[in-house]
Amino acid sequence: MESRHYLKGVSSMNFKQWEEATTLPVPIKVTEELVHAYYEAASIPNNASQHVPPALPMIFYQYINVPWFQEQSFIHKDQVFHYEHPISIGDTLQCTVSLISVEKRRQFLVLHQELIGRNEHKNIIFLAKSTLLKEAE
Amino acid sequence: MLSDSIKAGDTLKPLHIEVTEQMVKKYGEVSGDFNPIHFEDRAAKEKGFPAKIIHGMLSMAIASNIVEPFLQEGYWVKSYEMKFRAPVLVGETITIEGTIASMEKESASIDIVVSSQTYPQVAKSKILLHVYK
Repeated sequence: MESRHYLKGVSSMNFKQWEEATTLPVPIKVTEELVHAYYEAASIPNNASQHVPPALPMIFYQYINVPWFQEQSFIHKDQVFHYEHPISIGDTLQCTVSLISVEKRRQFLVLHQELIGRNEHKNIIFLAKSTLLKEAE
Repeated sequence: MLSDSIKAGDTLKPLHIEVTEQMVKKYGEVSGDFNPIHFEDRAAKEKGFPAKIIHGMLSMAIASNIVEPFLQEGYWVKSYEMKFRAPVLVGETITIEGTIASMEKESASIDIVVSSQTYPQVAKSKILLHVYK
């Protein structure tokens, strides 16, 4: 699959034009502070596992410039995380977001996208697949 | 070993967790998601919700608490999926119930249902756990 990278400053409401696009990789460090703030929000005990909670990578989105997210809100329909290795505090992951497909279903646009985190050897550590709905204009 | 004492069909101890405004505020801060539907009733009502709602990903984060006893016993999460069916209103108590779908020597699969006072099924979920080596 040929991927297009995000051109800074370009924004569009036309989701179809971003189909198969991938953001530039962003290094994200999983700090103790970040994980503990997440524990607090989700009522997870502080003596939790040595690995970070499985849904935590979604907070990485705030560090990635995703052009088709500019000032948009979506209905989150489904979410799947697949892990090749668990994530621990101190890990740094190179993260990208790809818009896999955009399809029209009744009054909605259905967006399938993937957030992928890789280690320093470019091996995939996790993959987070989201299905999002947007009311078609 | 949990695999010696747990079998398919067993249910896990349900969790009842109140999702407070403080938790939603904290999740907004940690995730950077400040969509007003999570913080203002008026904004939520404009979008067709009865009142402000929690982040879907916060309910997914909270629901994973149910496998905490497995994580303490050396398991790790291989996959975790959730289908969001209905919103959770801020201030509601959600109930998380888990049933063992399969239990092998080195893996376990758990079906999870999340419900609230308003909606009998907020989300359906499945977690696959592996023994960490």
